[in-house]
Amino acid sequence: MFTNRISQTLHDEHRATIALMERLERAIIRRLAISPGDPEAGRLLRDLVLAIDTDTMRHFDFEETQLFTLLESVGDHLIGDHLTEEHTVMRPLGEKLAALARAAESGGFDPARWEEFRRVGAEFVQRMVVHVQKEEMALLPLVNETMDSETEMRLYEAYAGNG
Amino acid sequence: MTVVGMFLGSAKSRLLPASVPFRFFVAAAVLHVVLWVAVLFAAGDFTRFRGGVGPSLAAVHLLTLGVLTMTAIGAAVQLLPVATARPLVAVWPIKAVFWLLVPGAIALIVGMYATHVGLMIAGAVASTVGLLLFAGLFVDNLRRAGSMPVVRAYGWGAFVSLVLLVALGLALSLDAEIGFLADHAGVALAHMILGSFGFMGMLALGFSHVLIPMFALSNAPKARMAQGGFAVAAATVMLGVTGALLGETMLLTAACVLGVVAASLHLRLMRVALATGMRKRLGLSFLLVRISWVLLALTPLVGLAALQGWAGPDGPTLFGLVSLGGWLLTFLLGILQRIVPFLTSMHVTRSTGGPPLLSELGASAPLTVHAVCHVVAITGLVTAIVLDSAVTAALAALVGLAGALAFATFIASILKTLASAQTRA
Repeated sequence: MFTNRISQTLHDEHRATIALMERLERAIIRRLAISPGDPEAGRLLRDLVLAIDTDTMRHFDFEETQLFTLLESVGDHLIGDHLTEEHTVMRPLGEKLAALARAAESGGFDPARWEEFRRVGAEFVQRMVVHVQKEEMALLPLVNETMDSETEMRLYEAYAGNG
Repeated sequence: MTVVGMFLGSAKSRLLPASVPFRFFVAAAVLHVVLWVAVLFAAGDFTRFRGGVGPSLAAVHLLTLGVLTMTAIGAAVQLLPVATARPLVAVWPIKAVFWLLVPGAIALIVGMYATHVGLMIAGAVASTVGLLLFAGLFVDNLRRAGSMPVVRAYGWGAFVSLVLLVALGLALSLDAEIGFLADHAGVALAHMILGSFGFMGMLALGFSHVLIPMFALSNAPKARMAQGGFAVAAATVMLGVTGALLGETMLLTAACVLGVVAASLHLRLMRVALATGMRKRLGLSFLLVRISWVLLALTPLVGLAALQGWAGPDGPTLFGLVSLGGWLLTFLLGILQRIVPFLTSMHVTRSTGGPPLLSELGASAPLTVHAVCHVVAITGLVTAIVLDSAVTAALAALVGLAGALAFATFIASILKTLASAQTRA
């Protein structure tokens, strides 16, 4: 879809993230806590921890340190400022969600923790979906249209090598 | 870059003060409530309505000029400048449109209800001036636009239709006084086709090309097929209007057949957008959108059946209901409940910092009540027409009224959020 490999890589990660958010959304609709013994629920908790701890944080860091600074250097700072503000809100939420999922992997959920997981999860899903929507419609096309091939190669190697 | 991109980039300058689009949305929500009250009072003759001044005509215009047009103008004045990357020339003309259109529409509708020709003409003149002013703003923006050719093409189609629509509407009002039209019914049908499929239809189809991919997180529809879809849709409207003005059933039949192709092309584009989209769980609003698409597909078929006499004596009434109440109203209410929180989020700063959650901006329970009531009410009206039952129509109107009140509650909850928040106006 994107000719620029940075845009395409981030797009692929967005697709995986949205799929995970939809799985989380389906789980937290339930009033009764999911059990980590259930294979599907256990897989969801594991995937959440892995995705937030590594992929999401790495994705945010890369955008902030490489892409937004690059856009700012060519005079376009509004997109970066707006998306950074959203990252700032989502980072602690993600960390909290990952911590709750990690704890539940071994000990399961008591009613209070399940409620907290549902609340934090619902906010995280909502923020992530809107955030991905903005990046897909604004950031990735902009990167695809404006980044030169030399910068693309340098950043792609940095990002892929860091994966 | 598309709608969201424009909002995020340099589009803050193109974000209108919240009060500008929201005045139209509030008017639409209030008139939506009044619409169902009017249907309740018109239940006696609604099922056999073929035109002519009276409560049923008033109810139809509450739907078209009231709910649909107000929603479309509120959405268009905010979305078009963002989509075309060109700001509107000024904000005051939009406010003037509102202050011409709302009293004009009310006078016209009351005049129709009470069979008061003077009021009808006064209302028609004010509405015409308001709509032409909107058309001027709209076309000025389209003329300066450089992006999104398919959306612009639909915009031009909607503009031409709007100008013809108001011209015929004014002529119909004057004809009630001085009787100069040779074929009042034919002109009324052309007016209806221009309103439903030309102005509203073109806007609905055009904005779908940006809004549906935006919500589903998919690519924009393929340009060639989208252009083909526009060409067929425009040809359908032209054939239909010509057929109505000339009284040629053959041309109207051809328009229905072409309408099947136009609807199929559009639905195929939308199906691909949803199938390739990242977001699969699109919520209640998209249930309404999907229902509206089913009714869009049925519209030309019901039109064909009505023309050929296969739909019984009340086929024309059924055609009007399926197109206006089924397809357009259902679609616009589904989209409106999606874009209103989105626009609100652009104007609100969370008290605890950070961007607001969309779910915090408006109550969700009323939307569930509305969706259920809306579907039951439209189904009830279809049943009432088929059975020619005034009682069923009245019951459907009561359910529709409950739904409209629920929808108004949702809009009120959004307004409360807007009023209590720091706005960027």
